[in-house]
Amino acid sequence: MRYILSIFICFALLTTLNAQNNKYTGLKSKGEIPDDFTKLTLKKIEEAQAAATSGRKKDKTKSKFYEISNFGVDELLQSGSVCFNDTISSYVENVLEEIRAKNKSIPLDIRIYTIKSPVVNAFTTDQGIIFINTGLLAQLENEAQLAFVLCHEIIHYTEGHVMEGFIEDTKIENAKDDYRRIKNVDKELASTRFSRKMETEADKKGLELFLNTDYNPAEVDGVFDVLLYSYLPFDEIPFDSSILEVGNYQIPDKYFLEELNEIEVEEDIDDSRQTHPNIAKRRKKADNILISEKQTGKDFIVSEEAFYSVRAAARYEVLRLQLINGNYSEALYSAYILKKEYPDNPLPELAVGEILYGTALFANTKNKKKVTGYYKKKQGNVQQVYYVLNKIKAKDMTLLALRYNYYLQEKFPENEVIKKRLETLSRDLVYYYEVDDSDLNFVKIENQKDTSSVTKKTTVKKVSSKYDRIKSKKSNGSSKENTFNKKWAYDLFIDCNCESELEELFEKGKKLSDDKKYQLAETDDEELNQKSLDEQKAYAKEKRKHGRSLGIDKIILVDPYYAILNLNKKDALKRVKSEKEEVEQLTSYEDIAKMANLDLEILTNYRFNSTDVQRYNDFSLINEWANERFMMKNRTDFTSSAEEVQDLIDRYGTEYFAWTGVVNATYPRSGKLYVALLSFYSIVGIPYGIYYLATPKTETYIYFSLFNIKTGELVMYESRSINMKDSNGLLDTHYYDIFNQIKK
Amino acid sequence: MNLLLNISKKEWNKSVFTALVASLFIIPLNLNAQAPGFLGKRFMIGIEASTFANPGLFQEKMPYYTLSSNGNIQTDYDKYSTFNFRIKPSVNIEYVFNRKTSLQAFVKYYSKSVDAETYRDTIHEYGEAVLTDFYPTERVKMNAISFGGKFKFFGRNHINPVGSYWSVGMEYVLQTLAYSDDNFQAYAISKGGVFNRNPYASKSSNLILTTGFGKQYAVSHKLLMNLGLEVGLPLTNYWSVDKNSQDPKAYPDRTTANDILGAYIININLGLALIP
Repeated sequence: MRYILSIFICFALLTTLNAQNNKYTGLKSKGEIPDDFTKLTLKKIEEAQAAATSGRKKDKTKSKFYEISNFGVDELLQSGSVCFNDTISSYVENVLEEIRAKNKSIPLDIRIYTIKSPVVNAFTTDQGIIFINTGLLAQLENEAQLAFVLCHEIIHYTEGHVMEGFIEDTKIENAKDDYRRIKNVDKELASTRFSRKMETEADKKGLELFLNTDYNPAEVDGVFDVLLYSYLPFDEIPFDSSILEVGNYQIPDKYFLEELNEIEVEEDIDDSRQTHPNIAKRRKKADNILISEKQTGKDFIVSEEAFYSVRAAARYEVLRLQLINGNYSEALYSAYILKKEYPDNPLPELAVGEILYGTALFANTKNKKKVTGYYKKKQGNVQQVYYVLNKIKAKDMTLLALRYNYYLQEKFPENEVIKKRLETLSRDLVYYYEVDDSDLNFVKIENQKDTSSVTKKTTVKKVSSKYDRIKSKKSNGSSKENTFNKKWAYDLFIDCNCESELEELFEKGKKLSDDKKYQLAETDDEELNQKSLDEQKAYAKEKRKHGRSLGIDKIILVDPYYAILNLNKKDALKRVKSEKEEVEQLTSYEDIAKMANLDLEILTNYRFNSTDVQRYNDFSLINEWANERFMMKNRTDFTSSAEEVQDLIDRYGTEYFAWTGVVNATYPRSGKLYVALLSFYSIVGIPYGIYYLATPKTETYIYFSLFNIKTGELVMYESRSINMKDSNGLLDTHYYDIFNQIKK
Repeated sequence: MNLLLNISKKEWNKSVFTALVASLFIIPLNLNAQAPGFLGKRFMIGIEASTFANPGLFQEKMPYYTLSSNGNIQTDYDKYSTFNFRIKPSVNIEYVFNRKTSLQAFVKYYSKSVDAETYRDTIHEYGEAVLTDFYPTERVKMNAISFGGKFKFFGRNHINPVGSYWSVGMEYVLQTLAYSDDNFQAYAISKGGVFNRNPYASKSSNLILTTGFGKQYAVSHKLLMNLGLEVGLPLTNYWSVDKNSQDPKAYPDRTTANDILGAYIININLGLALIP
């Protein structure tokens, strides 16, 4: 059975990754939606409390723990970034089964979910959920390492470490029991000390579970390597310019560092303020146990092929997330590694096109560092990537992006996103630099000194893993040409035979640049900024008086948010009340939309039933679209997931998706004494004085953003802060006003 | 009612008829309204109670004369308490122009008793008990009805008609001060004098400029609650009255003018509005 499943996983992954349709749609959840995703948090808390107390008196600390823990976990489960029954989770579950086969005491209620995150991490909750980040899967070297990570997490669950940690932290915070004489400055130390104690226990007992299996004990050491170097990308190979070169040109070596920072990480660091013991201690303790144990075992039991397929999926997922988050230096290096590993797969090339495009747009709006990051403190080969993207000037980057995407367009002529990218880049070149096709060199001029001929080419020595390469500390020599042609980017199109196509493209670019509506400045009021100055004035006046008239028939409301805060208290967020209001408000949105004759559909976990997996994946996709859109702002009018988004539009029958939320905050009143004195002194002010003293200050904040997900246009943005309570009447009024503006 | 409005019964009926016809137009308009305003409604019908303090602060402390128990004339001063809270009920209809502005038309009514001196043309000098003809103070009833309109402007983050607003408007007040002259009659008869004056009614009108602010709450989809404060400034009668005149005939005007100021200068409004 396991074998069949592994084959299935491999097949599913290979069809996803190696498909020549140049689409990678990311991890998708499958099957039935588990209860964890759809059940109300309040209900989960009640169940947990009932199971814990079973007739006994409620423990206040435990009740608080159930509340905080369940709400914390549900926030993650309802974020759309968690996958269930996907290829990665299914594979990890198989590994868990393998561990359970040799350790019958492991509870059956443990569930595995994958978090779409580039961060190297895995963690457990008190409900029995083990979350594995794609970032961790991308870094692991074999199944045995994954098995040890799982064993460690299983112990956290079976030993109740999450609750134990919370109870201990509460004692520390309130200076109770053993902590009666603790000083405030020592509280953090006490908390982290206890956390390290639990981590050590999880390592020790986890290792016991692990040793019962047939996995290779030597791989435990490898896990500590993974953790030690987790701040580095998922591989460590020298970076050269080949990935940026798609035509008859080479990137000048001026953009490459001659010497890179060494990879230096201290294993035996001071961990007194850390939640985990340092790696040296953990390695040592594990070694002490392993010395007396068997030293043989298998690196793979479930399936080696499946592991590598899952790891590849995780790595592609990491690349995709880096693109969505605008972490372009890391993304370029990930694409470079994947290109080396899978030379026939088009996805890394497509990613490079997107990275260069995005970097150019940010550079043109003088905000490049936001997506390229800083290179000085980076270690290892990735520093080279940071340096290249940092040093290539905005105009040259735009030309390079144009050239690269032109190459992609030739390779993938059906890809509409690439065509749009080319138009946007030509627009930027005209708008910012007054550069058009007539400035470019299409033929190599004889006698011109070929100053761009030398690039940093490094030989990649074949070694077994990232960690071997780090440890070998090999250095790469390089030569550097002293001369540098400042106009190298104008030569990018030499011999591309694309003069007439570019002429046509720049015609479009000029038209876009001339469009008065187009405003490139980055601003908070994006909705206004999309219009010309004269239009802005008239629009603002009309908007204030009558609101907008958008004439939209249907919108999708994505995961409406509701929070009730009492800022008079230390723990300000009233979680239970917030969730109740959030759920109740869903019906109000629908009722009010009906009154405004607006067709409204709500996409939220609260409305999913177990068979709504398609809607769940849509929810996940639209959240990722939103992340990318908020990162890109109005620099571009489409996102990388444009084709998937079109499917979404077809499925829901509208291209208008909205995000909204209500926050009600109660503040402490200031100047109570003055008001009391003044009101009582003036006599007439007594009623006001009583009102002021007896009632808290309340404010309701409503936000609403409506996007056209096809064009990326922010169609409507409302942010209202009202000094009134969040009564139904108030919310109904405002949402009616908003829905009415959308519909009329 | 005729006395109150100082119009004939025919005119009154005509007014009522006009109002009814207007309301017939309002109802169908309202039913099909898909407009800004609370859940798309353009019209609201409301009642409001304006509480105003009629403070001595704004009234002149005039001396007046009464008969003591032994039949002598004694001088006393006004009986206005510092704060004499009164209610001024009103009925209104409000039309929502857009999401920030609305216009309210209203009718208000109030009545109160005031100490009005009928005439005071004979000065009584202390120490020299020269008793001459005089007209003592009467506790008389004053009625006022006002018509007016005001614009409400809603704040930046507020949507008409829920939330904070400020208003500006005009009110036309018709006031009637009716004297019974009972005191005078009693005195005249006790002195064997001749009661030779008919009851007297003073009528005055005022134009009031009002401005204010407040907050409206939606109690339900059909009901709004309003809490506000309004300040009124008389534009006509109050300023034309000679406050220092010793002419006894000027006194009724002065009394009503003072009363207008007291009734309009500061009002705390509590209102309910029905949204059909």
